[in-house]
Amino acid sequence: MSVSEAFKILTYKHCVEILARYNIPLARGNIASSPEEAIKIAENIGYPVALKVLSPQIIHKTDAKVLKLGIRNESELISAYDEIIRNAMHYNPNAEIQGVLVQEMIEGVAEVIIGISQDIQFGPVILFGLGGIFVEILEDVSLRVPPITKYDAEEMIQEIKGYKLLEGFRGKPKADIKAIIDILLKVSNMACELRESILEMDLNPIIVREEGKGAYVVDVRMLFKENQ
Amino acid sequence: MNEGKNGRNLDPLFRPKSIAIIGASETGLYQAGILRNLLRYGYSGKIFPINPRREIVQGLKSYRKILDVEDDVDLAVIVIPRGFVLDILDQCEKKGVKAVVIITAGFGEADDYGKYLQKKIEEFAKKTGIIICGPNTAGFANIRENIPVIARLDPPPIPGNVAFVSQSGALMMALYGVFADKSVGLSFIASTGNQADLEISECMKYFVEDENTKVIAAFVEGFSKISNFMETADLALMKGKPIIILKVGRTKVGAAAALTHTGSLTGSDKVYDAVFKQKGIIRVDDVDELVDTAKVFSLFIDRIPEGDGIAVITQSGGLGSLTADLCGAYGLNLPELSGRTLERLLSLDELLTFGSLRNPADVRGEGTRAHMLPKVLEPFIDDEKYSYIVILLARPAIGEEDIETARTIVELSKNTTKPILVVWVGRKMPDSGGNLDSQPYRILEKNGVPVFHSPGACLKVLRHLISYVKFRKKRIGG
Repeated sequence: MSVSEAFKILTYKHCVEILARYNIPLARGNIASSPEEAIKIAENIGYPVALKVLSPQIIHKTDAKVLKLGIRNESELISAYDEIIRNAMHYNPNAEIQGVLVQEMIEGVAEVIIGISQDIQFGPVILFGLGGIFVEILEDVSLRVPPITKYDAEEMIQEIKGYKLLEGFRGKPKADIKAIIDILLKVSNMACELRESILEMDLNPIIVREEGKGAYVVDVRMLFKENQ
Repeated sequence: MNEGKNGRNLDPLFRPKSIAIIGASETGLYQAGILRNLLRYGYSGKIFPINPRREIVQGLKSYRKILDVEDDVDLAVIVIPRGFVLDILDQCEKKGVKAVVIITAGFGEADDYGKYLQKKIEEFAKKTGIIICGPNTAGFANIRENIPVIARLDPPPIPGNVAFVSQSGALMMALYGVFADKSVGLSFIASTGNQADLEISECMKYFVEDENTKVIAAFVEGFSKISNFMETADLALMKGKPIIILKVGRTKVGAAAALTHTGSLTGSDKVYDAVFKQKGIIRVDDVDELVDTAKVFSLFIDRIPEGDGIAVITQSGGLGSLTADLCGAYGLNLPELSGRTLERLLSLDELLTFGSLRNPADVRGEGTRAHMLPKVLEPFIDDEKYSYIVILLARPAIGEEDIETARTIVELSKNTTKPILVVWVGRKMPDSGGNLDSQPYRILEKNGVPVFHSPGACLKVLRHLISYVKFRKKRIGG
């Protein structure tokens, strides 16, 4: 669904507050406004970390090269910080930079996406899919209209063609499907409560760890109605 | 009218005690046809033709205007040109009419004037609370109670438990014929036309609540009262009344630039698809599938098996293989033969099994002849592993010998709770003349044995039954 009404893109900070309100697990991290702050945060959560420039004008972080993964120590962090800020300025000289997110690196067995959009007829719709090409190229996703039940959440996950990858493919451990169900139900609850204000949301990617070890949101984007 | 639109009672429309036909006449498809059908099928309420130019219409006293009728009028049917409709509606309100069917076309689907008129009708319905079906509808028929507010109803209806509702009037009429050809018993048919007021999901809800209706089939272009549709779907699932929908508009509408992946991946039809899955609605892709699915649900609604095992008995190895392939593609379960069932079948020397038999069971021509069929089917009927029995025949469905085959299958079907379905590949029309109804194909069709032209058509329907039962069991608990 396209966004036809006036909307605003929520800041990362605001998104995190909303996710916390619904108890949706998020990768640990904090926002730095200088390399010094970034070092402190990194020491706090422990290396390796990821760095991301937060700017409402930069939607696709990979395209703009404002994302650095697997930073192992302080010196790597300092140079990475500098590099991604320069890349951001180069990508869009007018970009408003709200800070640099320093985030823990989470190793998982799969990446999934969970989202919300608004349908003209049905109101909020919840989407589930595997991350990366599965969503972008193959459009291998499932949808439901909230509120959803545990059964609906299970069926949403089983319905996608890539389900096999979550079940443990070629010796890979089985992904924590219960944790995905848990997030889907929380997102359903959120979509119902925020039905008047939220236009779209992507939790993308969500890193899913092996069975029993949880799933964590690594990036989030939310669009709200302008007047909310 | 304090009741919300979701909860209003549609009895005055579908079960009127009296009907006025405004514009009734001796000729004209609707002007004459509706009155003729009400008379022909013995509508038990009062009928008032309204036509200022006639004293008598089709043998009934005609009135100048509806306000001249002394008795109460529940339902008014309007078959006059669009320019007069608003004025007639005002008269209907004064008369205390509770429901109106506007057959007349040329409203929202037509020019600006038509759109203006439709807007006025919408306002009228909101203001007065009078139920309005249409405009641009072909009407409806309450078949079990002989209330055909419809211009054509041929052949005479078979009363049954399937209600069919369509926005398109032409399609309602056409599919009525298909249902009749396939001997599907109906409770209601209805068309909602331009839906100035009455919406298709309200009809569906009425049918779900109707005690004689067990299966609801619908041709849908879109729902405008979504909350009512969702409620109806929940109610239907609870009551165990399957809703089968053929919905148009699968084509993806080009979405404008979306800012999230989720935004670009959720077109409206995909959402419909998702909602149907979520609510246990059976979505079909074509008209034959709609009618066949409705038919099979209708026949077995009180005894749909809980299990999903299918036994396939085939006359032809090739047809058996095709069926096995399709079962694989549709995710259907063909349990292998074993134990006592296998022993019993292998002991039938006539089958020339040479010691092995699988599922699909190739019993050759001999095993599918009338005198052998009971012996071949009984082991499957007795085996709990099998919930459905599909017989594959590959020969002309013509002639005395296969009349006997058909009768045998009908008998077997009557004596078991397990659904028996037949796929008959081959000629079905006799050389010339002759009574079609005496042909094997028709004998099956008319006696509660669903018969299909191809394995795919049969398996699609079975897949719908099996997934409906599973879905309902999970949600409601059987």
